[in-house]
Amino acid sequence: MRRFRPRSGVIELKLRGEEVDALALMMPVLSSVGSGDGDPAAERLSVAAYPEDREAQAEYGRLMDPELDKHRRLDRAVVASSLEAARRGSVRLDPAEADSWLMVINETRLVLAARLGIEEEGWGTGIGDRRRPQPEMALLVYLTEVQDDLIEALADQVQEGGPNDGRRWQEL
Amino acid sequence: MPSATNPFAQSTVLPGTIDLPETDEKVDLDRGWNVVVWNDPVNLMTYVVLVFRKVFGYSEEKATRLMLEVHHEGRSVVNTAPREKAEIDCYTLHRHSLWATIERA
Repeated sequence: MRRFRPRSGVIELKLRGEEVDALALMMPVLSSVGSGDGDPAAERLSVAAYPEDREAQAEYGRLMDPELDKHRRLDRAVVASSLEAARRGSVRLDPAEADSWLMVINETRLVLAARLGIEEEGWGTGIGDRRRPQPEMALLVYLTEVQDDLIEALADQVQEGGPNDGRRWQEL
Repeated sequence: MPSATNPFAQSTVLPGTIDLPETDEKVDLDRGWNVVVWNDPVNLMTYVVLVFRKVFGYSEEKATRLMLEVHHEGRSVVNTAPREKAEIDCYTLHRHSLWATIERA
C-alpha cells in the first residue's frame, strides 16, 4: 500500500494503525535533541553557514537560528496533527504540509543516524545483525522507506524554472 | 593616492575631489557568494535531487548532476548569488537538513 498518493495538487496520506504508532515515534526522538554541546544529533541539525568565519557565523546565527527553530517546531506540529487525523482515515496534505512531512522525516533520520554514529555510506547493511539489536536502526530504515515513498509522490509536483518555496522565503 | 569624483552627482560640477582610503583588500563585488552543499552519508540521493529542484527550480537533469557532484566529489557549488540571497538559499537548505555552507566565489 502506498502511504502517499498525489491527487490534484495535494498528497493523500493513508496509514495503517501500526504505522501511525511507528511514525509517532519521530516526536520523542526529535524532542530529545538538546541544544548544548556534546549531542551529535544537535550538532548535525545546527550546521554553520560560515564554519571558518566566527563573526559572520554569529551574525548569520543571530538572524537565522530563531527562524529555523520556529519553523522546525511548526513542521513537527503539522506532522503530529496529521498523524492524529490519520488514525481516523486518510488525510489530505497541502504542499506546505507535505513539505513539513518531508523535512520532519529527514530530521528524524539524521538524528537517529547521528546517535548511531553513522559516518559512512552503506550503513543499512547492519540491520540484520541480531547480536546487536538496535531499535534506532530499525526506525531509521523504516523512515527511509517512508521518505522514499513521499519523495516519489512529490517528485511529479515540483515545477521547474523558479524556486518552489518562495512563500517560505517571504516569511523570513 | 587614489581619488574619485562623486559618482552620485552625474550632472553636477564638483568643486574638488574626494580622497578614498587605501586598502590592501581587493574585493570584486561582482563575484558573489557560493552556496556549497557537502556530502552526507544519510541524506538520500533522491531527497537531495528533490530539494535542489524545489529550492532552486532546477531541472531534474541539473539537480541530478549537482547531487552526483556532491556524492562523488564531496561538495558542489549549487548556486552563486549576492550575499543576502546566498544566505537565504543556505537557510532554506538547512531547513531541509542539508549540509550547506557559504563561501566567497
